[in-house]
Amino acid sequence: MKPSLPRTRTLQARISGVFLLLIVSMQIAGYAVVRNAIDRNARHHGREELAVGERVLSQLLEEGVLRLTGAAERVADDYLLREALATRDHASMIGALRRHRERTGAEVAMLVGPRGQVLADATSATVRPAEWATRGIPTSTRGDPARGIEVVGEAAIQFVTIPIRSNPPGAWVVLGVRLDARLLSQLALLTSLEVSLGTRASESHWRVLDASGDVQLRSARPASGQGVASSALWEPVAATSEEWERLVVVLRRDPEPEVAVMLERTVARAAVPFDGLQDTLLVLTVVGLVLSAIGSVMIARRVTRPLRELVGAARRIEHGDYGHSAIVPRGDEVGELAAAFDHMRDAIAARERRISDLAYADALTGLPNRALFMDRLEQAVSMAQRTHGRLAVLTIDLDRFKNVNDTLGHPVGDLLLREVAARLRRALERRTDTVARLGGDEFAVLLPMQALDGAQLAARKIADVLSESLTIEGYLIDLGASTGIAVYPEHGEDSDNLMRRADIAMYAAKRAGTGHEAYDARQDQSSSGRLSLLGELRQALEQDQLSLVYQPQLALSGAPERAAEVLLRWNHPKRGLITPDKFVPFAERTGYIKVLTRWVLDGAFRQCADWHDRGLQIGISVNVSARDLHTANFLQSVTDLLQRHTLDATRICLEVTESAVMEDPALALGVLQRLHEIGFRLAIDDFGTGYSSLAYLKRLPVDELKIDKSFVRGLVGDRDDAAIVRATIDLAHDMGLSVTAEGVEDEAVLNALRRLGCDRAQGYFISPPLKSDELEEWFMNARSSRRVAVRLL
Amino acid sequence: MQGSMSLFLRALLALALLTPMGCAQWSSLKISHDNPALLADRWAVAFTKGDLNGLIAVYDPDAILWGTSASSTRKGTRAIRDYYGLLLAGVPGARVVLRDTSARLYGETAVAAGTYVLHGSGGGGRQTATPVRFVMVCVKRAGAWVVAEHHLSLAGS
Repeated sequence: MKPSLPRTRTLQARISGVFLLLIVSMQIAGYAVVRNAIDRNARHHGREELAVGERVLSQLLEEGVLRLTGAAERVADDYLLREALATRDHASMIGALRRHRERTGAEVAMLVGPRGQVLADATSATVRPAEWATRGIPTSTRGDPARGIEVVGEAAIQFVTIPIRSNPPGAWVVLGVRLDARLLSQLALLTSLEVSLGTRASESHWRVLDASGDVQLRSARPASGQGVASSALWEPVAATSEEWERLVVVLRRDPEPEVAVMLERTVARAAVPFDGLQDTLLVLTVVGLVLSAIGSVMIARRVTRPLRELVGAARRIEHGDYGHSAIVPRGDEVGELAAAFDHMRDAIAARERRISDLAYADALTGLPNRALFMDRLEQAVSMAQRTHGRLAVLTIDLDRFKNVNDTLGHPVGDLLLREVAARLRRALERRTDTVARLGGDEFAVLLPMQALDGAQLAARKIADVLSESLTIEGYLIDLGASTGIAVYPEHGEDSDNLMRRADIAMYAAKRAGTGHEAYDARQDQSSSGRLSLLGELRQALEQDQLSLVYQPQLALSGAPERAAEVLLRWNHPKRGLITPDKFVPFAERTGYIKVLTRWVLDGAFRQCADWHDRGLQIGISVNVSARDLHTANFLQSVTDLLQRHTLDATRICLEVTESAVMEDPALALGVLQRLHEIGFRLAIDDFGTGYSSLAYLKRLPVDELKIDKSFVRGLVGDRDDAAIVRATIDLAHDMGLSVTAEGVEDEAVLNALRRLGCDRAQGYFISPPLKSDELEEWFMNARSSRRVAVRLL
Repeated sequence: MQGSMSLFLRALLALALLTPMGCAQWSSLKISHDNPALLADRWAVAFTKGDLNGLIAVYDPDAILWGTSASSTRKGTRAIRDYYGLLLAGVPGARVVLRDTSARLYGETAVAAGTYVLHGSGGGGRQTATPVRFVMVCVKRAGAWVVAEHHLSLAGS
């Protein structure tokens, strides 16, 4: 069972996360948009406030000018002043001016002459600087009032000048008021702006002259836009942590110094009217987020709940529980998924049952197969071990079943196996007994809680039911069986040993023809040896335990040829020297003969090529198994080896047993024809042990016959053997074949063969099998020509 | 004697006041030089006409003048001439309209006092009217009355 997913990796968490992410993004984006709109609106609103402030300032200044103008006109019309002026009565002029200044509230009251010289000055001492007289006062020669703003010391003065009617004209009244905190405060009161009055020379920093409240002029940067037509300059201020916006209203630009009123406001203050809206928006955003989070979690749960149910169902199926439905009563895709899941569960269950049947039942007979039998056997052994009980294993092999298959065909053989299965079931009545088909014509029976006596009784019942004739497809078939018995714990304490020893007993019964046999340790010695030899054969190849030896062949006809038969040897590290007849049959039965043959061919071809390279003309031959002829890629394998060792095929003689040819003559003929075309020499080995006729062999592309040693050994003492050998040599020669006699073990036989005209002879009398270097030495020492043939057996 | 004379002068004055013509016509009237109150008329006429000599003729050679806005007195014919010369030049077009005048006689000395409105033109064509009060101390020289001291000041100040 897989561990549960971390909560953060669950689909529910991901759905919730995606929803939340989207919602948060939307909320943040919405908040940002609204906040930005508010900010822009606030800035716009603030700029409008500043623009309004500028207009109010203009209005206040204009009103001031009008007031000053009116007052100046009254001064100019004042007879007493005019009289004093006319009579050069300076004191009277001062007195009159002071009287007017005090009445009007002005700070500046002067009379100036045509060159700007001061004729009389009743200006307040607070604003009268020394340099006042040095600067000219703008005047109008047409009688109109002139206006302006003048910086006097630390004060900015708004003034008007108006000419006094005289003859000739030559004097002007100057009245001025200070632009002071009163004006700025009035402006600040009307506009709710922070107001400062500043001055500067050229591009220098602004210097504050007066201000409303505690506001000081910030950011002494020169106003950007001196060249613009408007006297109002926008100038953002960021000199403090608070963001300010400033409108610089230049009141006087030329001549220097400049005078300006700075209207200022904080951006934050402009946004104050929107604070409530922002708070509401923030609250709505937070509430929206919370509700969205709850909603997304609920949606995610609703979406994933059926999925979790399906996961639970899947885990139940994982544990083999197919009984619970995963149906989710929904009409949507999830419901369809659940329905499909149920269908899948049913299909899996059905397939699992089918697989189980196929895995544990024999398809032909319906009996348990080997896997199920072994499983039950192991369980029974475990039970017996716990209960100190007993059990018996019977292995059954049908006699002559191969003949039935070969003669009547596999369909009849299958029907026969079914009938055997049915009879075995009938013979064993206990429900606890198990009858299984292990494969082919092998059956096995498990008898729990049975000792040897019970097993033998069961074996007799089996023999009885199988001894009755069977009629299948109209054929009357007599069938027998051999049964081996192994009993727990006497014959083995585990399932493998019991099975193996039941097999040994079964083979013993088959050899003895007794029908059934119980296991006996004496049966095991040879059998186990053979079985273990087969198991160790693979390891032998890997560890170079196999080797080739060469038995020279004596040419009796005097032809100058060298040839040898190579025999395969297995130098087992524990068992010592093992001859091929001990392991080749098993290799043929298991198919391992293909590997073995290829290893032998490779070694023999390499050695032959080596001799050839060194100038030794020694022919070799390899005995090919009947199984090799039936191997699909045998021809290709042999051809590849020839190419690998750059060897001429005519130096090789392949020996095929007579029985191998006769097992499937058509196939053998085809393969031998192809080998003959490649260039191989072909020989029929062990001739005389089979049932082939020389007439049939004539059709084969063979070059040589080898007479089996069983005939050769009797050549001298047995007249029948001598007749066979003589006839074989004569007939072979008539057919153009050469003849080699095997098993020459004494001189008399050798001489007899020479008299009969046999072409070659080999045997221990001539030479035992030799190693390759020994063979080379043997040929060097021998005067006659010889040929070497290789045999596996 | 003084009582009959006074009655006579009063009769003349009443006649003059009842005359519908203003001060401008005083010069054409056959008024006796013995009436010190006529000095005010003579002064007003001369001022309005810009007749500097006529103005000087009103004053005794040692007369003292307090100008309307003057911060000091002018004494003597020369000083008074300078004063009026500057004034008439500096404030052209001024016109004096006597409002009331009274004179009291104390032997060879008389005191005339009254008010007048000084009309003129300001900047931009504006008409101005400045009320002024005055006191004249008159003395008789060679049988004619002249102003020995003349004090002018704003009527409202």
